[in-house]
Amino acid sequence: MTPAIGLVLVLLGAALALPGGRAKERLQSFSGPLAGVLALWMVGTLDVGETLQARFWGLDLHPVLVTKLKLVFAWAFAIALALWGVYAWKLKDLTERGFGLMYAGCAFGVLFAGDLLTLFLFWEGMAVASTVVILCGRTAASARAGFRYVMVHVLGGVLLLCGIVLRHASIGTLAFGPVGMEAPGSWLILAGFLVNAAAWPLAAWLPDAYPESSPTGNVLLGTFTTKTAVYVLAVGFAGVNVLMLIGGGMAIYAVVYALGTRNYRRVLAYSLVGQVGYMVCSIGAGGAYGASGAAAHAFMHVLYKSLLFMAAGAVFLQTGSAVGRKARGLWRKMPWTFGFAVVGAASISALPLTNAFVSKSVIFAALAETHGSWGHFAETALLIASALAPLYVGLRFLWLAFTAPGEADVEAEPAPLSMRLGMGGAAFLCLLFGVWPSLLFDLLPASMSGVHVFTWAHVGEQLLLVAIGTAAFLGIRALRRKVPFPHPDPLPDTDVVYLGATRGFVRFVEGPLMTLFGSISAFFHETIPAHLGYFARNPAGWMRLAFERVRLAGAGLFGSAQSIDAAQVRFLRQVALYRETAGAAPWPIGRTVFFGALLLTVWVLMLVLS
Amino acid sequence: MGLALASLVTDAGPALSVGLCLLAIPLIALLRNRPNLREAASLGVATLNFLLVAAIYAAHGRGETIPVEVFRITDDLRVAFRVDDLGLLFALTASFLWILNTLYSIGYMRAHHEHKQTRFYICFAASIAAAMGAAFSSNLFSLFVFYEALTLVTYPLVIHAETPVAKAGARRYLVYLLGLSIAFQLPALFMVKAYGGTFEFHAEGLLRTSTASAGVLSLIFVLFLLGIGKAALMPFHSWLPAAMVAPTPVSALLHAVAVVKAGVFTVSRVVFHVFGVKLLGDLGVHEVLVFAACFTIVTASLIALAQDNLKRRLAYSTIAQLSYILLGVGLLVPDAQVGGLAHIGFHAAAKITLFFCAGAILVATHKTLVSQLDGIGRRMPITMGAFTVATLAMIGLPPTACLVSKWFLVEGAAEGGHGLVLAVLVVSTLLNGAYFLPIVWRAFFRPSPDGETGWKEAPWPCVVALSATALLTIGLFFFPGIVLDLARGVVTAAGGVR
Repeated sequence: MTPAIGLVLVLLGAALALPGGRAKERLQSFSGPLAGVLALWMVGTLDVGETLQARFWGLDLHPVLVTKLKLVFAWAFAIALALWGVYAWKLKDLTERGFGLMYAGCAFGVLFAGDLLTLFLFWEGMAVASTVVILCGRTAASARAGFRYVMVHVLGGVLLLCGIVLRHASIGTLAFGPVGMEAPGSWLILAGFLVNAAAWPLAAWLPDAYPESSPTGNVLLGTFTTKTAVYVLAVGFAGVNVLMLIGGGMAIYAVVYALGTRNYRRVLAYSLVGQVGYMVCSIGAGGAYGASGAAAHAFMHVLYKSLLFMAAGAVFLQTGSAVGRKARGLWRKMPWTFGFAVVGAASISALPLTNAFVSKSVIFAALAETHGSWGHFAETALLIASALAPLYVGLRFLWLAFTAPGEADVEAEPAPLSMRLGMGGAAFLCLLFGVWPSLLFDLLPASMSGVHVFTWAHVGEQLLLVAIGTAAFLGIRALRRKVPFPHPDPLPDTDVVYLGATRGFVRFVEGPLMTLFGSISAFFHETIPAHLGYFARNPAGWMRLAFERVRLAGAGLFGSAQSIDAAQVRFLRQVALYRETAGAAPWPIGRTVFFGALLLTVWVLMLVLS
Repeated sequence: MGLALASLVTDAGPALSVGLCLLAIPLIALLRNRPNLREAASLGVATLNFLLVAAIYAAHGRGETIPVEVFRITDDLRVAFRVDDLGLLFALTASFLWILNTLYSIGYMRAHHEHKQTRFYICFAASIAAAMGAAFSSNLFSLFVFYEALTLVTYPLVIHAETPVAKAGARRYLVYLLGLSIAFQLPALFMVKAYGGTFEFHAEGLLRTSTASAGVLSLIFVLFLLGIGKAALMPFHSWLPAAMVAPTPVSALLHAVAVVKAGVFTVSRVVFHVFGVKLLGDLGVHEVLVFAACFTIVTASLIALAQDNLKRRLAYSTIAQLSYILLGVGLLVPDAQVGGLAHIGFHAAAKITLFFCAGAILVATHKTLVSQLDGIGRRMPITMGAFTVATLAMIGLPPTACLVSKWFLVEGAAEGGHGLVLAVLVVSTLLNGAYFLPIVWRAFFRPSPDGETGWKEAPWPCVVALSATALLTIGLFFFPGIVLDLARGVVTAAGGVR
């Protein structure tokens, strides 16, 4: 057995945590770091090429297949899990802890899956577990967002299932490698992957749900779902150029929407979409650096994004507000958290000597190799986003969370030591990988000998970008002061369309459609039996009723007002007669049985005699 | 020696099984004044019956089986049994779940202080006898007899409460099932005899050698579809929600497993062993079944969306899920047929869990509406945990058995190039999520309106039974072998599997 199977131990950790509602709190606290250490140890013992074969449902599967690319993601996940374990030391919500670990376990499962069925199973497991993590925000808003979230992911999952099965049916293999765009089902698989990658126009679920999760849950959510999606895209769809279009769109989307909200947790959620856009672009570029660039950026991204989510979570926990109105001078109250947040902000801005500066170099190297207008679009979009990132995420986040002028000074304690330790670890790693790129480069599948990080030109270019971005940002601010631009917060997203359509549809089903079905049912189950019953008791009366109805209709068409009145009186008299007997059982059961038996006898006789 | 024993079991087993279930009737009647013994007898017979069916399963497949006649009217009209994969699939499902259902009934009927429990247990035993008879019938007439018997012996169970609502529901139940049989199924039977010359099922279809015109054969098939009301194909489905007035164990075993599965089982018999896959494919009339099933899946799911009564919502979900089976069988693609047939067993485990949970909620808290279930998950965590598992199964999410059948169903639809069917499966998955997930969500993530949070589960037999079926739903995901192999056996014998 390969040690990789041990990753499923993470799932077992979940199993331990779930029914442990009465376990000692201290023991629960250990489960997080323990799972992290376990994951790190297991990833450390893995060798490229290790595999595990199994037969399941009569299909030949490879539940585990270790490749170099997977190890990059596996390290990132294991580090994030360990940091989360420390950060969430004081987490008392066992449901969140248990399902959080299960979520992580499923993410590892997706990562190491060598075939599409295993991948799908863990994929759906991830969807379910992450939904519970969101619901563990335990607010009315998180409950609603969680429900929307799970419906989007059920859709994504079933599209993926159909895609996988179509592929299996047509080319007869379930192995997970490059999928390409030719075989049937490829588009469905791509769509399923893109839902989890929060690709525009299906990005809205992410900024909808993540800000409503708990501070600890947010760290896990920010790590696993989108990054497993990046991983599967990197394996399955490297070099598929349409991804550059989508990724570029995601980067621009993030800038616009992040500028439109004052909720700092939401700002981070938008920027998460933007950063995944970089990775999607890199995958779309393909070539020597494409998949590796995405993996490198995913790795770095997990570090600084976890850091930022942790800092945001700490502020949220201490102030109880996610909107930057109460935060005046908070940086003085929470100096450590503020310091770590500055490191995270610098990293997401890709300042030299931080880790994102390293990985973005690889992505731009990948894009430089592409030709054609989509590549140019992606490159331009990423340049714009890179220029604005320091301001729209970095400074804006720090401003909203720590320094925005508020009504009064808030009462806030520094974050607990465990949280500060988690953030400190993440901040340290951000800087470590920033000054020592080869730590990561040696892990990547492609050789990085052609990528130069610390050249004067490259550093200068990045600083210039930041300078241009600052100028543009200040310009926009000045303009917005002059020309007030009132807008809803958050800006309306694409979910307005599909949520509105869904609500309308449900209202249609519950209203008009049910009325229609109800009246059809009433006609067959009430009107007809009632008339049959009346006919059985009083055939002449029933015929008279029918006759008067026809006469009334005839009078209505051709007759005078007088004759209509007369016909109406006659008709109503018959209706009254009908009503008198309608109270009785419309069609007694005995009569049913009698007629049934009669018909049955006739048929059987015919059968026997034939 | 072993072979002789095996053939003895497969020859005598089916009749013994029916006889055993019938034997329970006088036993229960005799013990009517001693409830503990009465229920022990029920449970004992259920267990014995399952062991018998399991023995038949173990002995099956070691040589030819011949129809064993137990009763005859004329040379053609005879009640006879024969063991085959399709029958075993149905019989194993029904007989195994009967044990758990009996256990559940004990807890439910006592906690709910139901009257006339002796009648209840007697009719239950008679229903299972009829289901066993239908499963092992070797010819169409025999199947028809047991099919009708099942309707008649379940009638007292539906009307159990004897309230006006129960009487109205039971009347609709009887009128629909008997009426459709007499009006459509019986003429179809008659025509099969006239144009096929026999009632005996054949592995490749008894009508394969018929010289009747395509129009006549198509008419026979459509008459069967109209006449087999128990399959709840729209528009003849409304007896099923009406039957929800019955006590919950009845809804659970009969109207989620035995009766409705007898319906889809009979349709499967017609497809495989009356017509045969090849003949139906040549006629092209299976498209009728496919379209009707697609229509039913979507429409029933839509109606389920608007139901506030939990049992009614489950009933409409059953209607939709039955059509998954019919769809799979009707596509005539081997993988889809395997998926459809396997769904007989898988859906049974999941749906019986849902009904068990609905009944447990009723017993423990007297709540029947979805809108009343806020916060119930904290009061009944085991019940709602099992409910959640079954909900995942209904949507087709891992780790539940229904994903297995869905996988094969989708694969078959893909192989057959049925884009419409794929679209229906996608839409239906979303709708299943839309009407099931809010229940789970309410139960666990909304505060209880009365502020009560104490643990308040149903009586332990109920909890044990519903936990067992939930575990079975998960277990069949990891070990679907028995069900899948039986389904494959049916399809292979029909000349289908590649």
